[in-house]
Amino acid sequence: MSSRFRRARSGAITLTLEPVEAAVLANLIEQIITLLKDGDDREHSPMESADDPLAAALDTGFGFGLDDRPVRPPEDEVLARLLPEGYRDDPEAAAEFRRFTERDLRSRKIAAASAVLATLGSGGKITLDADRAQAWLLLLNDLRLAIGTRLSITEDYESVAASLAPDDPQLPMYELYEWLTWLQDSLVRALAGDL
Amino acid sequence: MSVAPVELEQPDVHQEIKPDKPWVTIVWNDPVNLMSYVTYVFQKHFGYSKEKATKLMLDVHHKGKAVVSNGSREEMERDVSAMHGYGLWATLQHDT
Repeated sequence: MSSRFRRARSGAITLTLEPVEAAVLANLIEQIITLLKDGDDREHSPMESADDPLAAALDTGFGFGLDDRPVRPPEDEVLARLLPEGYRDDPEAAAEFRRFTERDLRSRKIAAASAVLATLGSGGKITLDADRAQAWLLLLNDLRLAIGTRLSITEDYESVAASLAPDDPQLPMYELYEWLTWLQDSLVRALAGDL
Repeated sequence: MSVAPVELEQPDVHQEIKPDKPWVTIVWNDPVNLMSYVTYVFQKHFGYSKEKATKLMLDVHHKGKAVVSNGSREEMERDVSAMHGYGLWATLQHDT
């Protein structure tokens, strides 16, 4: 897989994907959107949306409304990395920070993932404007965070992957991670011309 | 970029009320984020030169963390939120 982002002379960012690459990305994106939409592992307010029209109107679908108690970090390790603590060593401040910011952070990440999904198609050449390129950048980083967290990845992941047996079930994930890393790095380099 | 845990001093709760000390945003090292990407984020969000952004990124990489901005608590919460949006792990705290 040698697809990479390129910067055209016009300044547009392009990417050419094989159909199988587009399919793999679409699948990963759908998974991460599902994960980001999940909010059921936390406590709900006693004032459930069924009884309160205002809470219902404000309910984002993440499982909590305006009146919720401060929230704990997500239990899922990937979600916890995508939605990290804002304060270290101050659980109360961290909970308050999360209460006011997590919903928005989830929305931003879902928006980036959705924007990429919309541009993906089934392979071929994709041309990206500045906004779409940013969405790809954020989404690729989130996918790498997700896979990296699941693999408990370290900086020397290449040598770890090289030491795995050919039938090791983790090998495909390492290969995916390596490909996404290559892709993201090529996008950063293509975009760096603007700075 | 791997995490180097650092012990933080706990604030003395018996202190007299003092004016709000300046706050700082800290970006922490992690094994996933690309050096090229972290540098790009620092340039893009903070408007730092490539040189300054690279220096801060290398501090994160080698020292485990770096102070990337300072200001009011509200300003730092905005910076931390922005860093989280980019997938970096950042926290805010009182300047020591």
